[in-house]
Formats: sequence, C-alpha cells, structure tokens
Amino acid sequence: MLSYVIALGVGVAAGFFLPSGFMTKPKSLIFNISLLGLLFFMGVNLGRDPELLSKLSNFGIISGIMSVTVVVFSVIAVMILMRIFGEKSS
Amino acid sequence: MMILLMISAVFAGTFFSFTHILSDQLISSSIMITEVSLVVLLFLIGFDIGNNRESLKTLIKADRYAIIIPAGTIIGTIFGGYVVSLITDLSANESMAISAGFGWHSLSAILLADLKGSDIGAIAFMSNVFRECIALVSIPFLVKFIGPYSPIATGGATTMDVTLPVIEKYCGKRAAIIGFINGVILSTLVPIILPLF
Repeated sequence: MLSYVIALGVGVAAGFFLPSGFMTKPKSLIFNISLLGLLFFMGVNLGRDPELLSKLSNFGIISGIMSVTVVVFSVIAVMILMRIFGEKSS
Repeated sequence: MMILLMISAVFAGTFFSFTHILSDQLISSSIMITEVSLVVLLFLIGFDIGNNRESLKTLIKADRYAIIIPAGTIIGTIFGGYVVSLITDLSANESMAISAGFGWHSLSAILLADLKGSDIGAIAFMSNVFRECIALVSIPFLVKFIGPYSPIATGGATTMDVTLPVIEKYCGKRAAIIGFINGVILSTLVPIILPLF
C-alpha cells in the first residue's frame, strides 16, 4: 500500500519540477497501455476462479444497487451542505 | 471509446484465464503485473496533478464550493455504501470500501482485489463503472432540478476527467473548475480512504 502513496507523491514532485506539458503524448500512451494491461490482468485474476460464472450474476445486481445508492446519497449530502454553507444568492 | 476498450480488456482477461488459453505461468504472475501497472499509473496521475500549474493555482484560490462538494460527496458516498450493506450480503466494511472508489473503477478494483479478494474487486469495478455511466447520463437532467453544483457529486473522482466535459457543457465554467478540484481531491483520497475499511 505504501508503494502506491509513494508512487503518487513522487509523480506530483516530478510533475511540479518539470516544465508544464512535459512529454504529454508518450505519457498518455504509457498511461493508456498500463491501464488496459492493468484491467486485462485484473480480468485474468478474476478468471482464475472456477466458480466465477455463478458469482457474476450476483455481482451485476449488487453493483447496480451500489452505484445508484451511492449516487443518490452523495447528491443529497452535497445538497444539504450547500443549503447550510452555500452562497445565499445562488 | 476508451471505456469500451477498458471493459473489453477485463472481459478478455477473464475469458483467456477462465478457458486456460493463457499459460499458467502468465496467469500466476498476473498479480505482480497488476501491481507494477498500478505503480506506473499512480506515478503518471501524480505527475499530471503536479505538472498542471493552473490546477495547483486554482486549488489554492478555490472558493467554498471546492470544499463543500468533495466533503458532501465523500460523506454521502460512504454513507450510501453503508446503506448498501444493510440490503445486500456485503459486510459494512466491504461495502464502504467499494463505495470509497468514488467512481475510479480501475484503481478501486485493483486495490480491493488485492486487499479483499477478486469478488470484491469485481463488484468495485462494475459498480464504479456504473457510477460513471450514471453521472454521464444524469448530469444534464439533474442540473435543471438541483442547480449547477450538486450534480458534480454524481461523478465522484471522475469529475477531473471523463465526466468533466459534461459538467462544463451543462453546468458551466465555474462548476467545471469546482468539478476538476473535486475530482483531484477525491482521486488523491481514494488510495488513502479505501484501505481504511
């Protein structure tokens, strides 16, 4: 876990000291390849489970409930905080 | 387009592994490969935050909404996660950890697959992909009923990239700056808050 925080921190420091827009294209290419690789091998990890198919039907329903609930409550929480601390004119 | 590729990558990996088309050696080293990819991604994300002077300046000058909206999003999201644990088989910790991905499906899925197992990682991936889709579809409608700022909450961490163009188009420039700050704050907090559960 610490390595993730260190990677992020080193990235912020490197980005701060290097000129703005440094290596934008190669960076975006590496980002996309790493992201796709990461997701592919995450899929590989999932596929190692022989009981995967029976679990998948459950995941879809739980994921749907999770996403809708979380969105509804986050909007409600922001509306409450805006009512308490927001600008009166807006 | 990118989101389609990302979903395809997960399905392809699952299929090739489940059907043993990939070699066993590659399958067994998949955890190490995901960890290395994640470190590279986190470095690049950090780099983008540090390299964008405007975003750093805006962060320093940010108005009150730049605090209110991320705070509300975090409180509402985690509470929503807890509510889900009451109506599903997930434990409160698992449910709140999944919600703490704040829509960042790739990172939350990998972190949770590592911390709590592949099942939870898969739910984190799917629910956070759904969150991003819900945000993209609902922001244009919500802005008519609840104003330009509250809809930012729907996107969570994605308001600094994928959902930002929609926020800018339907909610305006000020909302877009706040949306970006919201995304930066939540993205930075995902690797810190998520492992707490």
